[in-house]
Amino acid sequence: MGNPVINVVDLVKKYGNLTALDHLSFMVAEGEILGLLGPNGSGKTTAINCILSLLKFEKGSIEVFGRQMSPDAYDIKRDIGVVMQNVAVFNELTVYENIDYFCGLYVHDKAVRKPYVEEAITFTGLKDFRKFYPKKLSGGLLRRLNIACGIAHKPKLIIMDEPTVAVDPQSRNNILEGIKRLNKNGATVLYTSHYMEEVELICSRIIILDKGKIIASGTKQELKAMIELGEKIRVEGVSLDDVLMEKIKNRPGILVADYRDRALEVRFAREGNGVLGLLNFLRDNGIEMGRLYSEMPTLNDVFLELTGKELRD
Amino acid sequence: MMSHILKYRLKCFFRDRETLFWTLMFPLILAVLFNLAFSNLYKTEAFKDIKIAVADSAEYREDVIFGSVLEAVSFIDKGNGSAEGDVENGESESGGNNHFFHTLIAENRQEAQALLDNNSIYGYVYYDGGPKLAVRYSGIRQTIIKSFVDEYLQKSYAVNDIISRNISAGGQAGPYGTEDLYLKVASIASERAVFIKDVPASTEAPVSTVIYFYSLIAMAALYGGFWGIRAVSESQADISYQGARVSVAPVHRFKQLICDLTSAMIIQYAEILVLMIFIRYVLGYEFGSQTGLVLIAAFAACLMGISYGAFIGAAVRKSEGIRIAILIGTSMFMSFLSGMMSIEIKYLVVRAFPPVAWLNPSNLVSDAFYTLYYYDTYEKYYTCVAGLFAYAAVFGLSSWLLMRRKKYAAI
Repeated sequence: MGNPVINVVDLVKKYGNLTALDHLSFMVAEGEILGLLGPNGSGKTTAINCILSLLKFEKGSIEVFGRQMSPDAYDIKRDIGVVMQNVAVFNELTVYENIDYFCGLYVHDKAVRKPYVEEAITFTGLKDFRKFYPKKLSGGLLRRLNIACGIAHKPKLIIMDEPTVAVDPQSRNNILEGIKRLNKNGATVLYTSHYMEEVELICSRIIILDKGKIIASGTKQELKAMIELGEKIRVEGVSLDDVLMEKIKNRPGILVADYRDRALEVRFAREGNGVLGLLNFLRDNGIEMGRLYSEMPTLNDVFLELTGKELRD
Repeated sequence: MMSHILKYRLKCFFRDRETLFWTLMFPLILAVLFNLAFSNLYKTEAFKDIKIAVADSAEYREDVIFGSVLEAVSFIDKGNGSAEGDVENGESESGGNNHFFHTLIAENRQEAQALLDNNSIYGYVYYDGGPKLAVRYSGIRQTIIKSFVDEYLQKSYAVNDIISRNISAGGQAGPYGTEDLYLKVASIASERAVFIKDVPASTEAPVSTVIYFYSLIAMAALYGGFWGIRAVSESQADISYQGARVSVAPVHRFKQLICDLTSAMIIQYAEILVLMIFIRYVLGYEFGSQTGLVLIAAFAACLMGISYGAFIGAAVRKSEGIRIAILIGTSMFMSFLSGMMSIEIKYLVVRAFPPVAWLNPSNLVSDAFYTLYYYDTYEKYYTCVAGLFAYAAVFGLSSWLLMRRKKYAAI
């Protein structure tokens, strides 16, 4: 793991009687994409706002680039790019002007800034929309503009707070690919989301938050290894009676079996692979099979097992 | 960097059509409506002399004193007394002079009565054992004519009495003979025109209508608060998304705010100047000849308005709609008290609640302009402008104290 870019230690933040962050400690290493995953209200945005010195907090310390973060730490802020959860642009400025304005808050030299702005426009695929006003842009393009405004000054650390909320799948893929490219170019990324697929796709390390606490952290493989669940299969077009179903449920390595609408769904335990055995059992009992689907455990399954609730709250 | 922020904030404000409507178009529309409503009032405010007639007779010609007194306060129309038309609509030939009366000499009482019957005059004087007055209706003008005749009679009786007592006592009439004494009395009586004439404090005609327009400018200046609210909102992380983005940038909050408010001030001052140019050159209402001082008053008004909006933006932690409602409501109320809807309200407030008039920023703006327009002294003007700068300082400082925190409890 590289040098720590963000180091949060024992952070406590309360809103009245509600504890939003409960002794939170984590570290973001240089060159990684760290995913903060959790349902709405789990404390992801609060943690980011504390890191950015926008919010007061009751206890704890936050260091960025090895120095204490504060509202007046302009030398630290100069190397941070922030993509807010909500689109934060000016409706009266064009795409180009918005990017140039926000980039200009970091890069004062116009000659240096100009290629940066052009690069951000190209990077986010907004070349054809540079003279458009935000009101004329679709939701996906607006999000891309939001990202361009946050990254145009080529920051070393990029903090992205759910940048793909309400974005169509095509734009989402575009954004995620872009984040991977930024990381490849050397930026460290702290990425929050409640979409487990996104985090699985781009993050090298993941922290799962719930009620302001870290309930699990590690690579996606490490997280999945924490749970008992194994592969899930679904066999369609089968006819089963109660006797056969009872026999299937009692087979070794099967955690759950369910039969509904001529489809059999079986969840196996992580250890061992009973899929082949089950298929042989069905064939031996003269059961004809239609389509067969197989699914490995997801972070949602991890979250479900750790907290007992769905990730998308 | 400050020029960079200033440039883009000016662009933002200049393209903000909604706020431009409220801060520029709305006052312009109101100015046009005011002009339509008050143009007739403006015309009737100018004093017009009162058309009367004197029925010629031997007795009238013998009363040389009355003739000379009347001449002193009248434009004597020795034409032929054939004036026609309605007195309400007729323009006096002597318009613009300081005469009370436009006096026609009718050949006789019948002709004078005919003039009265066809509304060519408000009343006429005829002789029947002394001057007598005939009018058709009662009204202000008729009352003025009657006061003039009554006062003449009172004074002439008094003088006659003094002279007759003097003579009956065997005394001399001083260095003057009797006729000289009469003429002296006539001279004194004619000075009545001077006694009852207003001594102007200015070379400008007092036109109260301009106060409506000055109050309108005051309202427009207070509406500059729209820019102030916007500038403050967009620099605070807990109020706007743009504020959050700006707060995480390496820019000092004070610098950012100064740039925002300077942009707001530039736009607002330009708008107020457009409004004033429109009122002066399109609608034709004067601001007096002290252009430099007029511009300073406008600047002070804009500064007060912007800082007032900034104060609302910083102090009211509610939605933008509520903050704008507070701005519009208070601005309209202050403009109302300064006479924008009815000038009588302004006078009522000045008479009954003087501190409210002194403290009302809208009243300070309209009084500053009116002082420049009408008075030849500047004491009140300087007081008003100093008051506006003081308001700007108080609102500005309060806003900064409310906004200077760098971290928020919640966003």
